[in-house]
Parts: sequence; structure tokens; C-alpha cells
Amino acid sequence: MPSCKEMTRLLSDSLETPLPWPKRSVMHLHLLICGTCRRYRRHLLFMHKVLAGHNHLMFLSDTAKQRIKDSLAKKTED
Amino acid sequence: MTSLTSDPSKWLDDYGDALYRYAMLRVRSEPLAEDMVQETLLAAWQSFTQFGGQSSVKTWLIGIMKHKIIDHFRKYSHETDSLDDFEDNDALLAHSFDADGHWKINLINWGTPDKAMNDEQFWQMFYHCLARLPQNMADLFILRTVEDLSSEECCKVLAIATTNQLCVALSRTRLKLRQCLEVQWFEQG
Ligand SMILES: [Zn+2]
Repeated sequence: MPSCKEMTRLLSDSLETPLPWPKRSVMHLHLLICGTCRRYRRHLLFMHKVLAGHNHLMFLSDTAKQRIKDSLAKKTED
Repeated sequence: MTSLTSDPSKWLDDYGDALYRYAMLRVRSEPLAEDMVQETLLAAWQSFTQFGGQSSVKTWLIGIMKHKIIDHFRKYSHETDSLDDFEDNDALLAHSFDADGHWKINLINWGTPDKAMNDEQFWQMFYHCLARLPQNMADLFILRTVEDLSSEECCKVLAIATTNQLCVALSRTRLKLRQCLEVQWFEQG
């Protein structure tokens, strides 16, 4: 059984890539009995969700795009 | 394989928003982020002959932007101030876990992200915590979370040798960012 410290790595890795089943099963076992690690996992997901949700609010305005295009056209024409 | 064109205005259409988001999350200023997008595209156009196509155009552009951001922070070094309550990872680990590797701190219930997402003050805090990460950590978190760059592409852009090192770094970054958010935001609220 992994320690909570080791769990932080496993939980982080599980967001990156599907874990091989032995790791996955010990991770889930630990989560079953450890409320703090369950909460840590929720916090990781929270950080991802909040940033991903913020994502679509950040984009170049059409005027900014046009301004950049004009300026690039000027600088690359010769 | 898509045909490679050195048309900066096409790059702007395709990857402008991605570059802009990355810059905004790091420098937190709309005019500055716009300038950086422009400078990145211009630099890319000038060095297009050096682009060998080993990575995607997006990754290549993000790599160029990364250097622009580093240059920016070098010039205005007061903004890079990443002094921290926890100087290094070991200090944070010692704060968080006992000798057996069990949590010795309580984690607060953060609730659902929806509320925080619409709270301007939360965002200020989030940016603040991002800015307090070491630069490479902030880049790593942004590129993986926001831009959804693959592990391989992330390694390339950030000059990380192996996927294993990438996973170690990401795990540390998440631990550190979580700690900052908890202390700065959730413990206050
Ligand atoms: Zn645990």
C-alpha cells in the first residue's frame, strides 16, 4: 500500500496517463480508506477544472488580431 | 502531414489564442500578452528556416514564446520574485507529511470549482500563486493543463529529458500550487 506521500505522485500521474492496473488498484484501495488523499485528489481536479473553465475566456479580440496582422504584414513585406 | 507555410497571419489564426493564453497566464497584462504574441510570430517568421518539423508548429511557437517570457522576466526581475514560504520541495514535504509519509496537515474542503471560477478575487489569487511557482513549474502546469500539450511535447519545450522527470515535476508543481491556494484563499475564506 502506498503512503499518502507516494499517493500525491500516483494521483498526479493518473491525470497524465492511464496507470497500469497494479498501481491503479493500490491507488484506489488507498483512496477507499484515506479521506485526506480523497480530498487531495479533489483539489487536483479542482485546479484543472477551474483553469480549463477559464480557458475560453482568454482569447485575442478581433481588433487585437487585426492590429497584430497589420503590424506583421508591415514588418514582413520586404 | 500538413504543408508547412511560413505565413505568420495563418499562425495567428491557428495558434494566436493558445499563445495569448500562455502569455496572459504568465504576465497577466493584455497589452503585454498581445505584444508577445506579435513578437513571437515575427521571431518565428524570421527563423522559419530553422524549423525542422520535428515538433508541431504549435509546440515550436510555444517554445519561442517561452523564451520571450524568460527575456521579459529577466528584464523586469522584480516580477519573477518567487520567494516562497517553502524554499524547496523538501521543506514542503516535511511540512505536509510525517516520517511514515502520512498527511500531518488537514486539507480544507474547497467545494466545487463553479463558485471560484466566477470570482475575480479568486483569480487574482490564482495568478498570484502561479507567479510564485518557479518559472519552469508555472510553464509546465500551464502547458499541460491549459494547452493540453502532450507529455512529449512538454518535455521538448521545457527541455525535460524524460517523461518520468516530467511526472515528478508535475506532481511537485501540483503540491506547491495546491498549498498556496489553500493558504492564500481557502484558509482566509
Ligand atoms: Zn492517504
